[in-house]
Amino acid sequence: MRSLRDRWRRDRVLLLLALPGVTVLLLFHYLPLGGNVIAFQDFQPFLGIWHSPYVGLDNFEPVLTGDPVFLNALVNTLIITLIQVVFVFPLPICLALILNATVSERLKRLSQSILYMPHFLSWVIVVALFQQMFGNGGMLNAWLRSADLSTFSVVGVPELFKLMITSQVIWKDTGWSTIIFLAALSRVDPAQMEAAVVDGASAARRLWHVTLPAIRPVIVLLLILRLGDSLSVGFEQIILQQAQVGAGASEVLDTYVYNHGIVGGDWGTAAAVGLIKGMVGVALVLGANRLAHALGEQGVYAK
Amino acid sequence: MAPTFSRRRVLALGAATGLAPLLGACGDGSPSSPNSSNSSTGPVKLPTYKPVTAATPDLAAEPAGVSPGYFTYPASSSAASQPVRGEAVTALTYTYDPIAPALGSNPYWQNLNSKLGTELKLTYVASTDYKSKVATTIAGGDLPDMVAIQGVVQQMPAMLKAAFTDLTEYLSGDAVLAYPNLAALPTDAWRSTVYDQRIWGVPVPRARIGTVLYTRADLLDKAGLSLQPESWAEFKEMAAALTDERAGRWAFGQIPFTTILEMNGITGNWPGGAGVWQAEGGVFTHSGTTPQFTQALADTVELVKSGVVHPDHAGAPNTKRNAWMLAGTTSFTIGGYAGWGKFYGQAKDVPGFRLTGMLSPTRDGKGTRVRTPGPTLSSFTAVAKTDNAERIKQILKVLDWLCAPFGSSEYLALRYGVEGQTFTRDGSDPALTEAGRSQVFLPVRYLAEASPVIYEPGNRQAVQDQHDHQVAGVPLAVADPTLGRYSETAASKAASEQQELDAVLLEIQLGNKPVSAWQPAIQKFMDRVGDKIKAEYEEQS
Repeated sequence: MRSLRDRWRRDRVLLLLALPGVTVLLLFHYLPLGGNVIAFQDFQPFLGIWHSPYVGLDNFEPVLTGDPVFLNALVNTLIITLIQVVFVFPLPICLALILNATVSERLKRLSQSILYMPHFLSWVIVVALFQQMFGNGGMLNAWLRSADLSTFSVVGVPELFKLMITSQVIWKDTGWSTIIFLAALSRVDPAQMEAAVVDGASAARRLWHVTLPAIRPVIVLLLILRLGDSLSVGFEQIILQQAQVGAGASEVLDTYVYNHGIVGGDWGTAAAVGLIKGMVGVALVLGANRLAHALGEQGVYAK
Repeated sequence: MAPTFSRRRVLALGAATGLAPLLGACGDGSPSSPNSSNSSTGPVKLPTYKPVTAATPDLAAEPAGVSPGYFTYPASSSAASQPVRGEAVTALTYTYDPIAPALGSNPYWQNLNSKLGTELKLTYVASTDYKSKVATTIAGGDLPDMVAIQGVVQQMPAMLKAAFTDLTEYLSGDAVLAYPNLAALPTDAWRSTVYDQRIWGVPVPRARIGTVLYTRADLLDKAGLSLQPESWAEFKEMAAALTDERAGRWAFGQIPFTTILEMNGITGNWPGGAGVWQAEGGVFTHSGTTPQFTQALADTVELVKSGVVHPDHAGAPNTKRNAWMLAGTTSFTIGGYAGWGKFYGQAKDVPGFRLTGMLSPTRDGKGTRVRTPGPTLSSFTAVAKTDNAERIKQILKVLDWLCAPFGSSEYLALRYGVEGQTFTRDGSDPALTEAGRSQVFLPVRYLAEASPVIYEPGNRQAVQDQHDHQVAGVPLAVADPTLGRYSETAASKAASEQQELDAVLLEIQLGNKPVSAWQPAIQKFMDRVGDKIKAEYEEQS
């Protein structure tokens, strides 16, 4: 065991290099956490945090009493979380496997570039694109109408809203999310693969017994991280499209916080709901991590 | 000069004025009644109204509340008031425009200062950030001489009392005649500067005509339709005649909800719920609780179902709706009156473009029409707390100068700047130069300005159409009974409940929820805040 002094001498440059990052983290991530105190206040911006009166757990009333508006937001959030974890999360893995199996290096590069591109579009653009293509007055329906065919509504239909935002997420980010999986795939040991081929393993067997086990730690790590912010189901994307379908289908915890806090000026309740959302997120990460350990994986951090 | 003032003092004063129960409410549901001692002084005498004109209007400002119309700008203009002497004045206000060049490179501002005789030091931020800017400035305790107060904030009376000067003795009744341009500001606008029966500032007045159902008169003419349907049935027929799905044409770009409300005899702006309170004999009623409102909801659903509203109307931003109207995709758009003039610039390439305003008919074509009036003011400018009477008078003189009427040389300096440098003349009409256009973004007009006038350089028809709409519409306006009253619950607690109400309204309008979903929603609103607001307004009768 080296003394602290030795370690300081050895690592001081690294520590100095870390200093700006740590400062930013403290100033913009940890310090603002203190603002959560307004969850326990009747916060009025004019009085500020220091002078707003404390009201105990009053702001948690919608949560504790099960206010229908809050419950609606909670249920929507959970459904969207489930859809996104079950359907959206595995897609980049599949895509990465397909890309990895592509023989032509040129084709692979080209398709990668095309798949990455939507990630760099902001949500405003993505939503506008969908609207222009599939909107009720958009390209598709305008053409159907002019050809005297029946139109087909995607935008503005509450029942299809969750499906629509999920397809937007898939279109925008699946390509980008393949990057880490592709990197992991490149580290699959070719010797193992060759051995499997020699043993006469089919492509499906090779995938199941060689490739997937090799990238399993990465998959688990990303899944845990994904669960951590799984309750953040695309605030910007949803708020941009909320007026098309109304709050019933589209209100999630993040938009609830925005609508009640920033729009409605009920900062206390909004902060309380945000706080609960954060706590659920932490619980999910810890739980998933524990599960990973139980399954013999390393998870986000070692035991 | 700069008043020292801390948040602590606000609290102290808040407590002194009877707000203590509100501040100290500890979640025990104590019935705090923030009755801010309204009856202590009796009703304040509003400033005497005495119009000033620097140019005879082509279209008269009659009946009351209608803006005067001018076809041309007077070729020669003279000063309407004296320059103000004294040390520099500082001010804080907001803007909806880009930032103007700084004083050093802004001949328009330099010219303004030299004509005014006092240096005007102006700080301003975007309107979206303005509320927080004011809050932090007040909390910081370093107030400029003049602060534009926009909207109603929590504990407004206590805040005004703690940080600003009571201007009643300088402006009430005939006292205002010492500032002739201020005396020409409309009485209704002054009413919105009164809290606890004291006058707290100088209003930036707005035309009372409010929100306009902008109508493409040229498209209606082409379809052989009347510019003014006389009943709900005619209104629906007109909308159907203007809709042709196959050609990609619809009547409306958004749901004309205010129009439908007015057709049913009630006023109000939704979402937001501004101007929804009705009063009769001192009893206040939220129009959302009336059967007429439910009827309007049913009418709305019927109109949307008939397919006359653009299928992508929900969630479309204003810019898009306006673009639809300009392109003829829709025949109507709905917007604030202040935006009327800008459409002519945008429609330069639209042949035959003519814009008129449509009034809301009554449902059965009989009885009296109603109209939701616009806000009386954009903001009012308060003076930071000081006992120095001379200083107060100087500041009021500056505001008076800024309110110089259309046609005066001050108005020319305020709106157009320096001839040959920031504007040139087209005939007698001033036209801003490229440089001038960015320099006049300096938002002095959001500190103080004269009552609005109608003036569209080189477009007589436009002036006539706007004036016609005001003449027809202004007399129909139903006065907002909450004007000059203050409800602490409305200021501090209602927004969140209103937001939920708006969400339900939207669901009903989109057809996601039945009309019957309204009753429980409005009931919840009334239970949580509405009844309290009602009581607070009624107390002040």
